[in-house]
Amino acid sequence: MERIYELAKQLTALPGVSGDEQRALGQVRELLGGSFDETFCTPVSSFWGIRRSKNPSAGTVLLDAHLDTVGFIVTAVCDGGFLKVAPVGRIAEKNLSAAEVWIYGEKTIPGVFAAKPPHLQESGESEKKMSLSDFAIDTGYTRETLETLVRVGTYVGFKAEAERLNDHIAVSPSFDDRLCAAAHLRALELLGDEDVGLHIAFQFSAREEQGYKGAMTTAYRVDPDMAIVMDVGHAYVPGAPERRKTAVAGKGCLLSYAPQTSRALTVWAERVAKEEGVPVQPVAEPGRTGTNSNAVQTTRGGIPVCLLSVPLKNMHTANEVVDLRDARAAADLVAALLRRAAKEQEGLFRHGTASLL
Amino acid sequence: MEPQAFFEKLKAYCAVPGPSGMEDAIRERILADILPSGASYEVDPLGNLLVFKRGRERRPYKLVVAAHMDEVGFLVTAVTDEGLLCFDAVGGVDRRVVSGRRVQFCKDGRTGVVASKSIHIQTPDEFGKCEPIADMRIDIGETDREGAEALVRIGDFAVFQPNYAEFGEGLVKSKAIDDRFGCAVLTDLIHSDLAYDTYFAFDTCEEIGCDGAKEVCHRLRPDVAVILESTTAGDVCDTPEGARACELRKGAVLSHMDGGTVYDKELLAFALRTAGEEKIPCQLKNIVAGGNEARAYQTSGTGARVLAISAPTRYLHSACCVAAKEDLLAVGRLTRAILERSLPLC
Amino acid sequence: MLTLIRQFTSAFSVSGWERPLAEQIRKTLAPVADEITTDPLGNLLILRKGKDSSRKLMIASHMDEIGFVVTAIDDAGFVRVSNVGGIHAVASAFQRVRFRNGTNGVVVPESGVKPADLTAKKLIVDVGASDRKAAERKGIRVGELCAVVPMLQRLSGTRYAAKAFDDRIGCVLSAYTALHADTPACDTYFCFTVQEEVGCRGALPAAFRIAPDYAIALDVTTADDCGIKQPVTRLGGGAAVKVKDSSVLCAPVVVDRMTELAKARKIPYQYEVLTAGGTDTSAMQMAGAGCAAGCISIPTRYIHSPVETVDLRDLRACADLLTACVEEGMA
Repeated sequence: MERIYELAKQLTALPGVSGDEQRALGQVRELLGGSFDETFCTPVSSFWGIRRSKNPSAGTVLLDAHLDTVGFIVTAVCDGGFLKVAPVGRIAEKNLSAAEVWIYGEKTIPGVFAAKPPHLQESGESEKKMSLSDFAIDTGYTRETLETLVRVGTYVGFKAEAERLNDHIAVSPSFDDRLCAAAHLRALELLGDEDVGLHIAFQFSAREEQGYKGAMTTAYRVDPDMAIVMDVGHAYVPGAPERRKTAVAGKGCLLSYAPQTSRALTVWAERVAKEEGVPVQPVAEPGRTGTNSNAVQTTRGGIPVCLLSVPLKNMHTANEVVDLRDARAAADLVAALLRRAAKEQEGLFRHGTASLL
Repeated sequence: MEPQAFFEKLKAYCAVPGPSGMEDAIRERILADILPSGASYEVDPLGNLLVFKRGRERRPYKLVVAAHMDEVGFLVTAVTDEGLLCFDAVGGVDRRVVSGRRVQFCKDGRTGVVASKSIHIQTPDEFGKCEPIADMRIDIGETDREGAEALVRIGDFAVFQPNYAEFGEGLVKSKAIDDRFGCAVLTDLIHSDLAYDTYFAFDTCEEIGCDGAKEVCHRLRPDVAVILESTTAGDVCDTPEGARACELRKGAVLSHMDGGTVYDKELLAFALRTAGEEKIPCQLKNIVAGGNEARAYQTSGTGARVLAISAPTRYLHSACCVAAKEDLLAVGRLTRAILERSLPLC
Repeated sequence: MLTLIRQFTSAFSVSGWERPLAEQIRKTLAPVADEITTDPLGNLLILRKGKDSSRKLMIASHMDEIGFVVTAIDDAGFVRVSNVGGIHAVASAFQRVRFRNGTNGVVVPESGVKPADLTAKKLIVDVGASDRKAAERKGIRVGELCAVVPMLQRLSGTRYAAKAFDDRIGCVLSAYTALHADTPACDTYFCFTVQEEVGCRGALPAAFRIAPDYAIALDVTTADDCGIKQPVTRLGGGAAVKVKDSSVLCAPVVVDRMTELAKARKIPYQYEVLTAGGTDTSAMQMAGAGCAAGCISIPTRYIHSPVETVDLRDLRACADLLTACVEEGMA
């Protein structure tokens, strides 16, 4: 659990708003390169690495977590050193007043979302519906200086540190989805030097928050036989619909039963979890899962996907809250699945191209 | 294709539970039917069934005829303290066709009832309105959580109860006519003597976004894809003629454009000509709406030329799809006639 | 360039029947093409070989325009239609249209429709027929296509208004560059795509077939510089380097390279962040194993109206920028 937090803390500190992931790739390569035999960066700015089996004709499993975070993009540089922005990914406006951000321009500078102080507001203003176009980011520079640092199209991300609330609860921006990346990497560490009889590829995909394009194109290149996608899921909070009660923080990692993922793999993963004593919570998702899973599953001739999630509160804000025990459960489950896949899912590996060709 | 046998097969296919994401049972049934035909087949890791049947001659291009195996259905999302089941729809299902229905659980055939508050205990505010699916519950007769959880799990699938019957003058009603009728036409074709080599695809997960079609297309790389589907017929009481899209008893539907695809103009013209020459009744749609797997086949890989031949069907995605027997047979005859000919591809 | 503009904007090419324009483009570029391919959907792919054949650059502009498709003909001879692509109902009402076979008509709102309620679904076409048979004799059938009649008008100075600059102007720039650029840095595919207006459908299989390393789309973008404080782009502000629209986040390497080339060759440019819209860029980015994709946008006022307006100076800037990308490569 400590190790996952350590990894997650390093990863959440990296830049990489959706569209600007290449800014993080150098550091990603440095941090993660040692865990793989070979690493690659793709034209869509995803990172992927591969740990090869000694058996060159072994099958391939792909682990996926997305690199990009939600954020903003500058649409105008204004008088007084203010910036107007548009959202990248879905973001609730109610959390933005006086929120702190990093602006990734010629150099990275801090900024603050301007908030109208209460004494200047008209009565009833705080109840009105908000729109991002009403907000501006204060940079503290003059317009002339600002224009040398920032342009239309510069990316902006939340600014906050990862920290612990107690021994198992942590808060940070970008746990979506770097916490899951940390869980995947921890799973690989748990394997040590063991050769599980499969090539293991890990993709840190770009552009998930904007169309899943990194996962789709990187999975195409890797061409695995099965994939385990890990993203965050919504943890139950009071006031949420009844059916969300099936995802409780602290009770284990979520396993999604969904028409958009492989039922066979999901049933298998649940069985493995039971046998290994890993706490999991099944959840059902009839439509879009909102994750990379469908993009990976429908790439090429189809790649069966199992979707794991870590329950998370306050998604897409600077204060995403998780129970690290759930991330540990996810890491333990991934390690167990990797150890058993070659034998228990033999039929999947190297399905090859259609013999009907 | 002997009509009596065709409709018996259609009845059997409609009765098999097979929602998007769990098409195993219907695939097994289809496989059992086609094995004696001598065609070669393959099931891909996602469950799509690909079949190849030799004809008397080879085609210089690859032609795939496709239908989807999956039907719309339901997925259990949670169990309440009172032993009721929270659920959601798989595929596009209007809330109003769900309220008050019976469903059948796929794993053991158990029946569930979608609870519906009697009108006597509704408040005046509730009159006439249908609550969203998230607020509906399935009742399996248990009174507490423990009892329900012993029988049903989160992630279990259910479908509308099987209910095939002939009625009226030459009509049939059933759940899942979309697209089990397409599957029935395909299995008949696989058994017949074909003029040319042809591929047949039984796709999964069409109702949730044509996923199976994308996967199949990547494997087979067709040059031409002919899709057999059900399409909405709006010829019900009070709908003006201009808004009906197509009508029952007017023949197989050919489409020039729908919400997902602009169809190949030459293939469409060829299909119309073929129908004329063979005296097979057909009609064009008169609104641009809906969509089918053609959208996936057309833009997958390096692209394919697409044609859709559809059966006009009322009340799609409900417990009672209604179609005319003569239209279903027309689709079969037109598809066969097209397969007998070499296509005008330049 | 004006000759090409005149030719291309007068062609008929509603989504699904881009052939007339494709033929014109093919004839125009045959002298410089090393290879010409037409794919199953009708995309026209024209290869100019480059110095480095191990890399590929794909340039896409879409041939199709928005229009109407006939869904029914009523007894009185009126033609009922549905929109093909994003028809702007108010801009289309009371316009003259022409069918594939040359038949003329006018598109009008159904009787009794209030202007505030006007949508594409409430438009019909009057071809002057007295009944259904008369309309059919003029060649009108369910499935037939029509579009607003071609129009090109010079406004003062360097500005022009025309129907369907979207995206014939992109096709003009692409063709112009194909004709005039020096040997490309790498193998360059000038692609003229189909069915973009109905969902960027042509570009995806075309990109899959080519599997480029870099891709540049050429399309129009909003120049809403009439009184708005922060317009997306300005007419006369130069070639717009797209950073984002609602379908794509352009690859930073492409945005940076375009900036570098524009500065080096002193080409006026501006940046574009659009919170709406979609272009072929997205399809090229995600085909197969993906590639680094971007877009050079042509600032245009009144998009999807019959009077789309551009500035010739921006067109020259776009052509120069595209030429720079082709001649010097993206890496």
